[in-house]
Amino acid sequence: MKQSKLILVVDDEPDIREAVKDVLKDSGFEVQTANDGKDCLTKLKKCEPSLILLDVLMPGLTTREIVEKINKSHPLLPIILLTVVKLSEATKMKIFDGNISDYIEKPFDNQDLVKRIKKAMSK
Amino acid sequence: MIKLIKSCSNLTKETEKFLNVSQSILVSLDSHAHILKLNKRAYEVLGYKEGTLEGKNWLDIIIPFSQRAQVKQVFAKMMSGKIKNVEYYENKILTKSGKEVYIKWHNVLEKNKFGKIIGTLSSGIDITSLKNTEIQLRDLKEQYESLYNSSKDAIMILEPPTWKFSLGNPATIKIFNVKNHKVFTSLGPWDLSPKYQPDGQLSSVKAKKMIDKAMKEGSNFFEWTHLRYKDGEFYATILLSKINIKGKDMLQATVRDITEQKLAQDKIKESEEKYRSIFDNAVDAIFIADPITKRLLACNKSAEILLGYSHNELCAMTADKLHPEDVLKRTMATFELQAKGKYSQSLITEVITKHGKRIPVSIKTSGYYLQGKYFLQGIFRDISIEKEAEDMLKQAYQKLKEVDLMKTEFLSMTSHELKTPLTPMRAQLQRMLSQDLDKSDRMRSVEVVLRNALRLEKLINEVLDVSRLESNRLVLDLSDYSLNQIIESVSKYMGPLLKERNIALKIHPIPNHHNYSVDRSRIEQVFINLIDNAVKHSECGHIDILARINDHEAVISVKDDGKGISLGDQKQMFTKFFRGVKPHIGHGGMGLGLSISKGIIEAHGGKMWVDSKLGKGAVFSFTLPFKKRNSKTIGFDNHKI
Repeated sequence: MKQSKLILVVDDEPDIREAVKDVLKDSGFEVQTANDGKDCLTKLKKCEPSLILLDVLMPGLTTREIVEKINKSHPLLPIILLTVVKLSEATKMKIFDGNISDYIEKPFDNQDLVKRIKKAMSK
Repeated sequence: MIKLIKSCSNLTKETEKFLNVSQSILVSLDSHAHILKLNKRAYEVLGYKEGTLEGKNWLDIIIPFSQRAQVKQVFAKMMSGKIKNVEYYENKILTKSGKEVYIKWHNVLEKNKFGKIIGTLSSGIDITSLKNTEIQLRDLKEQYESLYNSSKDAIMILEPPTWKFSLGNPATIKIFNVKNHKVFTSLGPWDLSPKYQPDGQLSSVKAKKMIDKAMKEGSNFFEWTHLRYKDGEFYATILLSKINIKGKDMLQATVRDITEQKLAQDKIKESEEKYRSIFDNAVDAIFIADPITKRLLACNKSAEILLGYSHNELCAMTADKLHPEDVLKRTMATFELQAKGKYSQSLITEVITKHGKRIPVSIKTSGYYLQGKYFLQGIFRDISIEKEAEDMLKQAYQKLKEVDLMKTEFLSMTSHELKTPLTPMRAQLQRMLSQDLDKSDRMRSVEVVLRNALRLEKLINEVLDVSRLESNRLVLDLSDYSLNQIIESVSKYMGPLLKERNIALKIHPIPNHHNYSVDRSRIEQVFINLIDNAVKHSECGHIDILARINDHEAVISVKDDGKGISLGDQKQMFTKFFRGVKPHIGHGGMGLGLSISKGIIEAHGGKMWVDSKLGKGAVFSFTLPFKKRNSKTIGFDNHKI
């Protein structure tokens, strides 16, 4: 059964952004994209996504700043971080204080990405 | 005198007068020792009033208690006729004041006409002072004998003309290890000496000289090496004194064995010399100071060298003058502690030389007593070299830490940079495998994969370039090209990106058409890197490429009108992995471009630098020499890592 929920994909790398969008569309999601934190917050005002896929380490706002702002305006909106850096649990706790639904490492497995998005959305 | 008394038994006034003139004591006693008559002199000596003692018992009053019994006995024997020969007798008498006086008597027995002994007539003289002298003499003789016999020093007499020993005390026998006195007196001083004295003189000759000197001057004191009879040598002091016995001049010798003293002295001397030598030749500066006045009392040569003062200058100073003001309090606290006799640890501080130079030193202080007075000793070690080495080590460690941090960052960055193009490649390839994509979608996916594969290749090449430059393995493929040729092809290559970003590239005319011996692809790489940096980082609208000729080289600049670079960043720009104040992944790459470019230019014999002001754009310039280079392989400065 295809889901028709909207996902906001935020990444400063156009090819990654587009690849994620392709994979999610293949699985029936609707996708909006943003190329940095500022863009993400602007897009959030215009659409109501069910989940945000957020790249770690982008120019402009820090990931922490973006997460805090999203948590403030959309307290229930699940956020999944996309990162090439392996983060320890301690670092995750310290930086994001439990406001993050999941972490997905790049490069990712397409099926795993979809599975974890669905899991986060079902919570 | 006695006869005179005897003949005058009936004393007339005339004879009494005569008797009273006598300086002898005249006593007439009856057979019971009652006093019949005493002359004037007797009363004077005894201290009684004249005429008061007649009729009294001589023995009971005049003879002191200590001799009374003995004298009574002698008197009784005289009276009984048992002793006939007591003409001369000595005993003490007691004066009225209690003084005892020694009297020597001449006694005559008085007999009646029948020959019976009826008393005595005695004449006595005061021999007290004589007696005392005699006693003193006897004591002296005893003392001298005791001294002579029990002395540890050998005392002997040497008699001319042979100067053999004629007498020796018991110590002589012991010291010289001779069998007995007889053997000793058969020898002379040279028989008991080694052939030579320590000064090289023959003992026999020197002994004669010493004897002559003593005879001439009355005495002679000197050191001598003796020989025990048929045994080893020993050190001695000898006092020769000229004496006269029975009109004959001879010598008394006192020989003292000072072997132990001498050995102890030698040991002290040796240890003193040792200490002096250690003190003088020590590499460390050593000071002796008075703990109260802080005056420096002594110092060695190293102290003079360390501080640049002379010995006399130092010994006129106090300990606190050796240190710079800012370390003085801390340094002197240790001095005070040691001055109070408390243990103080060694101290790292500084001294200040005569010429104002500061030298780091370690000081170890200790206190000691010498002849009841307390002194402080300080050993100063110059630790300049250690300190310098420590500083160098610290710097090297710091550098190493920085390099290590860079390497760690490099690894993390490399993995990041490699994973970024891999992410869309994997996602698109998985899509192509798992589902039927329509043609345009598939083409787009393939393009993404290809583009990112190229990006990966570029990254890998950069890393390889750095590695080659670091290990001097960059090989230049040199050919002759003009700058115009290179810049034109770069301009063509960069066209699409510049167009996309809406940036105008202006190539200014190149002054002279020199040819340069360069690796074309490498020089193109430098241009591309500089333009790419301007496009991606400077937020500029225009980029200019300028060139001018300077002596034997061309100076080429890539100028932008972007945001400029801070001075701090400019200093680090050509360092590997440097990516500006706010590094972020994606745009920046790995920060290897500029360091590689600089390495390439240096490999061509040129230089590269940057001029910029914040808000006023940046100019990256490099030089390329006209001259043809011989070396084809060159690295870049490893110190800039």
